[in-house]
Amino acid sequence: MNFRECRETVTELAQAQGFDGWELECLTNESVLTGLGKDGKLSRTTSRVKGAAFRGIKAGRSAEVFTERLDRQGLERMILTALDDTASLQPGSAGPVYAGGGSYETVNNYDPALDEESFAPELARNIVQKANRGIVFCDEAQVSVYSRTRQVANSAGVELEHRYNYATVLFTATARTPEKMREKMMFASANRADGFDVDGICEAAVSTAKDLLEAETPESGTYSIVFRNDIAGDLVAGFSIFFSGSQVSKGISLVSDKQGSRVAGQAVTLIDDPLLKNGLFSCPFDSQGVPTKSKTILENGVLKEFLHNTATGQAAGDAGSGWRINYDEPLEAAPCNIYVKPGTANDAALCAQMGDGIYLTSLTATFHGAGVNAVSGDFSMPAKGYRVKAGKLCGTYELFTISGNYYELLNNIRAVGDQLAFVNPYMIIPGAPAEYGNYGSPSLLIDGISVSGR
Amino acid sequence: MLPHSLLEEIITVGISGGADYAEVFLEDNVKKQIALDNGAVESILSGQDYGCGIRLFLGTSSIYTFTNDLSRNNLLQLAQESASQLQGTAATSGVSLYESVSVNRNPYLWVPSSVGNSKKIGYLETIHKSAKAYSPEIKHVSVRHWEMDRKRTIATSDGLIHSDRSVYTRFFVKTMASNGVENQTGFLRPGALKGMEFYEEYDIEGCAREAAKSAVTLLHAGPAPTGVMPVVLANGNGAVFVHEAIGHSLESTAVESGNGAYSGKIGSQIANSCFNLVDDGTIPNGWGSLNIDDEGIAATRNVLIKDGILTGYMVDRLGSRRLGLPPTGAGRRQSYRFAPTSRMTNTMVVPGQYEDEEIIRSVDYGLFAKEIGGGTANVVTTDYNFNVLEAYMIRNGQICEPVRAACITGRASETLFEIDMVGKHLAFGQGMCGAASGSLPVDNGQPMLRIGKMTVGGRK
Repeated sequence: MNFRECRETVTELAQAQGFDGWELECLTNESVLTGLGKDGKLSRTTSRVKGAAFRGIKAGRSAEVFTERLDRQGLERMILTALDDTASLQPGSAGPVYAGGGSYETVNNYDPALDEESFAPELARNIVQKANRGIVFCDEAQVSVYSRTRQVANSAGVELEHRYNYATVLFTATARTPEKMREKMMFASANRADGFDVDGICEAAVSTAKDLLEAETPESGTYSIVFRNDIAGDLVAGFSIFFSGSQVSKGISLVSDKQGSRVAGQAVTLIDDPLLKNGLFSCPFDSQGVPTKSKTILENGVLKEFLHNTATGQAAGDAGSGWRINYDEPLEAAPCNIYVKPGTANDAALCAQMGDGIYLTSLTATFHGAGVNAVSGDFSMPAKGYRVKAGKLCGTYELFTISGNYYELLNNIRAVGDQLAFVNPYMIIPGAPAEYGNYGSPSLLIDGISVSGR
Repeated sequence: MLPHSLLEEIITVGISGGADYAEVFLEDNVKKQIALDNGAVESILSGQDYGCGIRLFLGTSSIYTFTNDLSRNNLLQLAQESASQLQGTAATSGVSLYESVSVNRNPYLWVPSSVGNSKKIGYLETIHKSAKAYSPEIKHVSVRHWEMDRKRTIATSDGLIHSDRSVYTRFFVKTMASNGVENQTGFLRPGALKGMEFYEEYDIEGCAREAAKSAVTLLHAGPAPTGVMPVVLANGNGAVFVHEAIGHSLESTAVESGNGAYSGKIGSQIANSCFNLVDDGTIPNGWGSLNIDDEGIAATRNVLIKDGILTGYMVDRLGSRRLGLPPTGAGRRQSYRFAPTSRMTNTMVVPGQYEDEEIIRSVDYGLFAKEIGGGTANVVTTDYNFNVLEAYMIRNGQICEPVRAACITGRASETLFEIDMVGKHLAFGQGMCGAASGSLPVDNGQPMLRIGKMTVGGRK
């Protein structure tokens, strides 16, 4: 069943069951995952999966149901389940259906060159060639190309479609001597076929892996740290949940009542821009069909606004940040392309400003539930990086953990770098990111980080 | 979902196109989750996964494709396209499929989809009230019911069609204690491979109080110390450590490249001799149990480490070809949207000889890790990092003050030799394991363990 047929069937069934309003989001996810080994062996996984998410509203209550069975029987089951579920919900809890009438920006983030048969194998081959150097080897490079078509309709007559694609690269460079082995896993993503700096990422992977062979463990203590831009976005992923309307409306976020107050260092301006040029997930409308726009959440450290969907934003009269990761996930008030606005200092200047400390190049367990507690803000993540003495890099550090609290960390951001980078979307289901949003940052100089090492 | 004749056609297309093994995986999976937020039903998300995966092997090469367009033309075309990439020699004969019936070791009584929402919400309200009643400092309680009714059909060019139905029921309780300046959380998530009778058999109110106690305790806890010290891992959820830091390294995908930490080490001493590890998918109604895996192979009890010596790996069909070892019923996937790979089921440390009190008494100064949260482990270097959700200091053989924001880090290949006391009392903690073939139910079991030396990362 195509989208038009699906919408017509849902309209008929939802009217017959007496829904007051409804939203339908259909997502078609296509992916080609290509792996190329250094022996030249190629592997491929291809997919095309389409699913529908329905939010039905009745007597002020709304329930969400999804299905991958896009025939009449599947849609009937979806609507009847929604009818049953709405009866169990609290009256007045439903966010309204977007009434339409707004204007939508034009967003072009679909590059046909990414879909060309030769793109992924050539890119993988290029990486395998450049990441196998001397004592450093790379067994396999994986290139994944994802395309997504988002189609949204609702009972107010809104009907929208947007298609975008992007590619991700994943490989591990392993430096090996007879005594030890150290590795650096690299991710990169872009929504243009010419958006990958292969020389740059291979050089960074190879040199980082090699440098780690000589790494020591730092002494435990409190440090100033420069988080390199390719990992600083992970910090944004950690704290941006504080600004979600869902967290704020429940009173879980500790900044719920801090609008207009300083909650971060003066150097921090945090923006969510669903219309960002070259943003991986940019889209002119959200999962509810509301026109999207750039929002300044923090301006020079002062909290300006939160991210809302139509339910959480009713009091504030705001919406446009209602997103589903995939059709089988709930609608949340969440970011799209969220990033810290770059400043003017390069990384060398940030290290010079820091004096003594650590220049961090690797972080793991950065996601909620692993190294981060989204409610308390506590974090604890294993890290690797370079020792910085008198502003200069001298030697590498490994086997240590950084820890702290994100609410405190926000206030301890002293300076921001000049080059914005986005972290790779964390993916479990091909084509469907596992976390809401695309997170970016320039390098960040942050004080007062606890380091647990020797 | 599909007639046997079409399954035979798809497999025949794969084999006649050059594959030496073909497999069709069908799934019809009905799910529901209900969220109760501070006593009010916040949301209900229901749905149906419905699709098909086709996998072909030629030697040790594999091609996988999946779709939810189950039309005959689409499926045959996908099989043909996949086979053409393998460039093998075409077989001439077709495949005839016969049904294989598995023993059901995981019976269920009340199928969740047949039970109304009001009954489920009633259980959630009971859990909410118990947690809230624990202390006025509990400001927020989120409770979530989760159910899944998973029907699978797996047809392979070995000539068999396996069908299975698995019913899962689980709840999550997350409590937040707050003093207005800071928040702390407590979190438990028990579940079983059974129906709604799980709620009747489990102490849901006791579980809610435990989660509340954890949050309140942490609100009054000081920072954890930093340093190298003995660590005692509590039984039950402490087993997350064993799952992540050791279990993943023994999956065939981690060793088949030859670069894994335990590649080619069967028969080698890799842990202290008091340490025994088993992966057992046959435990009746265990959260990670299976009748058959997602490749149609019966679950087994697989001894991985015996007296500290590596005795086996968890092996899926592709790993079997690559390692030359028989598959162990470990081929698992979240859904048809993933190619299966070697995964854990119910992984447990075999009980030893010590009472819990003896283990605690043996430590002069160290950390008691009661609940372990998420973490990461590297299967090549075996470096690991885990958050300890609830921890206490041990002083002079006594469990003393709670501490928070602790993490444990190290290298598992070294830590395994530091495990020097294994308790008598086995307990399990249910989790969802995320890896290459998606997020899967796994049960992690262990008795209390003492690790003589471990790096604790705190903020003090």
